Amino acid sequence: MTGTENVMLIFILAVATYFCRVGGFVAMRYVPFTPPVRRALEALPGSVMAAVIVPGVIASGLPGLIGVIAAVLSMLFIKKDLAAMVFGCAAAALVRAAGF
Amino acid sequence: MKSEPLTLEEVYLPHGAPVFTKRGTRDGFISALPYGLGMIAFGLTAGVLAAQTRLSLPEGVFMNSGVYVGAAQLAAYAHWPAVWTLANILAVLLIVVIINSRFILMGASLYPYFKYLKGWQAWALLFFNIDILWLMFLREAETAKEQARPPDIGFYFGFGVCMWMFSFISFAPGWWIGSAITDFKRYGLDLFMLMFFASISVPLWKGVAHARPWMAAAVVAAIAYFILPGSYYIVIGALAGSLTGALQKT
Repeated sequence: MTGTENVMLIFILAVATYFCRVGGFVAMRYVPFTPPVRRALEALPGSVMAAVIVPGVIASGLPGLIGVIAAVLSMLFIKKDLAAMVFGCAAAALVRAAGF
Repeated sequence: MKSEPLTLEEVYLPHGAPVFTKRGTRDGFISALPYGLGMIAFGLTAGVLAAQTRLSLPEGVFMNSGVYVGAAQLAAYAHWPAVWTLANILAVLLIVVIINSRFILMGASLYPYFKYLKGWQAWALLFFNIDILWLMFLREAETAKEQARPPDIGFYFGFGVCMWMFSFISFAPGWWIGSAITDFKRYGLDLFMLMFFASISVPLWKGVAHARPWMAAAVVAAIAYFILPGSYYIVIGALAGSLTGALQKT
């Protein structure tokens, strides 16, 4: 790939990414706010998270699972998301260091 | 029996339309600073990979600020074509769109708050959208509800700009480091986003009945993860959860 081709591809990818970012927002302008749509929107954030977390744990195996448990537990007890993330990553690293 | 609230305002904005304050912008910017450190780790990685993909520094900076997002950018480097053919270009385009398709859903969930902005303002703010920003803004909206005040879009703006800056600044050093590979896996840093999603989903938990859509999302995403290539699973799982929510009796 030449420099020009690289720049063209980056431009295409940037435009595609931007369309993903604004697409959902723009589409909602044309969707009436009926009760099912309201419930669908309300369920959306948690669903995105669940759809990221569960396959993420499957993909990363035991370290990921222990890390997520550590993150959730520290969130329950100390309620600081940054600390929970650090504990989660640290727990995962420890499990990996133990050879899993 | 309590009748179901129907308007978008009653559900999302019981204390008035969103505001955009300087104070909120500053708060957002400051709360983003610690997360910015995580962004530095990411920006460095992106820089390293861009250099290994043999993109020049300006090209890499363009990529990092235009395709401003974690997973999709890294996947694009991994599949960067050697020659310009239609098949190659479409392949990398498809990968990026699939990984970014979750932003379509996130954008839809921001609609209740951003619809009050002038068109170009919403379009500009959405450019900065990344997972962590979306999650933090939803949390700000939740806090605002509890404190009986309208949500502050300034928070989104400040947080988003701060994260973007960290990404922008950390990219070049990563590019210069080039082939000096840092071992992110050893410190569990590759699982950073996973841990973040896990911890931030905890305050969202409002009981089992409320979580039925999440269960559906989790199960469908897990199945999709096993039977489909790539990362279709996020958007498929999320849609399944959202649909379950829509069909649920309240």
